[in-house]
Amino acid sequence: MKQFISHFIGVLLLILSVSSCVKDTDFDQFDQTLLTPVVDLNLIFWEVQAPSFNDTSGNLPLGFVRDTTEIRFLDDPDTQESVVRADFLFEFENTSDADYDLVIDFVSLSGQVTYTLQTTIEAGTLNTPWQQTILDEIMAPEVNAITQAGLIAISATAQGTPPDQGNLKMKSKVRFYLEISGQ
Amino acid sequence: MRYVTLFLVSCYMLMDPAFGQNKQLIYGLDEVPQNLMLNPGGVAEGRAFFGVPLLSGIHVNGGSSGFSLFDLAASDGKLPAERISGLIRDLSEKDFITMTQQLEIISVGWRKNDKTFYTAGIYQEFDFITYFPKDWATLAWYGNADYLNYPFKFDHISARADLLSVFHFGINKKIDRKWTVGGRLKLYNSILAGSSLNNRGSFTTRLSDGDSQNIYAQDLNKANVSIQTSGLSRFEGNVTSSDLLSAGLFGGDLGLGIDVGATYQYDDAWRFSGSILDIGAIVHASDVKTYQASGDYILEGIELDFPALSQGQNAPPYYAIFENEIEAAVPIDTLYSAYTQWRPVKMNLAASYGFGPTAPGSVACNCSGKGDAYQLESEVGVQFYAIKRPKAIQTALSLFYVRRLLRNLTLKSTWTMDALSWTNLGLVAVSDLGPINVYLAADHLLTYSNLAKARGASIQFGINVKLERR
Repeated sequence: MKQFISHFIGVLLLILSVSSCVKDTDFDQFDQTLLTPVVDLNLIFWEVQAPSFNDTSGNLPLGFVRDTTEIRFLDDPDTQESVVRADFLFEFENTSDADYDLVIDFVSLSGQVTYTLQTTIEAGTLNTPWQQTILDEIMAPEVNAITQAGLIAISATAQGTPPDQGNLKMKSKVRFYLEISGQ
Repeated sequence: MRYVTLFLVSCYMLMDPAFGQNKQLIYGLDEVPQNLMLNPGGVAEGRAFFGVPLLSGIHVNGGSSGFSLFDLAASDGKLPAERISGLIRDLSEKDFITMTQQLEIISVGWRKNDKTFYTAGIYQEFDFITYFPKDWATLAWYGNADYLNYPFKFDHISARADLLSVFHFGINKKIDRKWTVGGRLKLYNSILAGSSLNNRGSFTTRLSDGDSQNIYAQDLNKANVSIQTSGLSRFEGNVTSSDLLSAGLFGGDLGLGIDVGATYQYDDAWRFSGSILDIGAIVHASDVKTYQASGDYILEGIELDFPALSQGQNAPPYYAIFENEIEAAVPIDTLYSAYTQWRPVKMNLAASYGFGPTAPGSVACNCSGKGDAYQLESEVGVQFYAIKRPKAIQTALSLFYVRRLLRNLTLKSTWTMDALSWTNLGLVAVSDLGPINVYLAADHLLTYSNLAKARGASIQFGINVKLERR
């Protein structure tokens, strides 16, 4: 009897060690899995004093300012492919007594404008600033125009006589909706 | 006995139950020479033993405290994203994944006299543990948009991996008929080590409260994150087997450690034992690289100045300025200075009660009561195991039953409760076929038919040549 038990247990251990397996799982399903993080990032901010619109020491015409920056965080092709939507939030505050035409250009590294946002910022006063918020939701496929950009150029043109006091401010953030596949 | 049980249960309740290098099936099993590796003060049988090189001790285990492969990748029609979301929600930063592998290269033991037994050998070990980086998994999976004001904490990143060879020499001394004590000196030779431990700080996105000129204050607060490595360059380029051999034979970073243990044989029935293993450290001095990032920074975005530019002048390199600011505030340094790392110290405690007739092959009776305690056919008992891991002391509690069925066959079954499972049943069979001693042990047997549903799996196997006492 004891011999039978010992053989039985020996065989059982052997079967366990040989027959153990991984069942009812499918790891290929992760090829299709999408990570869908939604990422909020500060983008660009600036403050231009009204006298800057009167500064003609540069090569820009009176009443006009312009600046450009690279946005290299979108250079990576994987990141570019992953962005399926981008919501830009721009907050403006104007304490000068001039309206401004504001243009935000997304520009490729080759200099081609891929996406443009235009708006008018109305005049305010030092005591009662004009505040304006713009939410620009850009879905696929238009969002490719954003991800292909390597530069952002911002220009503001004072309507009428350039002001001599107050300032124009902008804050911005972007919310990227990403889809990252498991492959 | 009641107090011992109370103590063990109290230890278990007070600490995190867990899993690691627990070898509850072999511990205290006199028939397996490798039990002396778990308690140098264990009971040494026979005149000598010689482990079959590379086959005397093979041990592999792995597991996760929070999920099984089935939980992650079941083919049940559910969307994988739904399953992963559930895991991220349910797992905590104290959950972990661990893997340990040991291979005895040489293992010998020999008796000097009735009271003294020596052991010596070399084994190789790979040990890995990573805690679930819950905050960073959450950030990667969901992003930060829905987590405003939530600090993503760097201390959730905690992982350690060690590949080493260990040269050891141990002495087992029988003091009297009740007490056996032992100690082992270990020389550690670290082949490869990497760890990211004791990270600090957090990253929070919150609406600006005057501390940022932009909409958000994206606050990297008191960040201190490091990755320590040693031996990485040994595995760069063409690695030959002789490179590995030389790294395994004193070619790495050295360290010293000890094991201590004791057994108290109260009478023929009751036995108490305990051991502390790997009290020691390795000094990582050669081929060391530590990558460290530390600092504070509030990410505001890119600030434009709208300077008045002349013809041909370019706008300032705002993006480069932005990057430089971050690099200056949170520099990433590569350090080459030596560092010391403690080995994960382990503790075993056990109490057992033997009963029934004498074990097959044992002397019939310890009639005078003065000789050595003799083996009984059956034993029941309780074992406690603890290991110091980066975030906590992890513990396991086992109940066991040993049955010496035949002169040459012993079985031990265990029911272990640890972080992986409260229903971990294990079984070891030890057989002496003449001088050949073979053992095979496995646990988590209830899930063996489908390891995907197991939180862990462990197997041990070994062949020794045992010489009986004359």
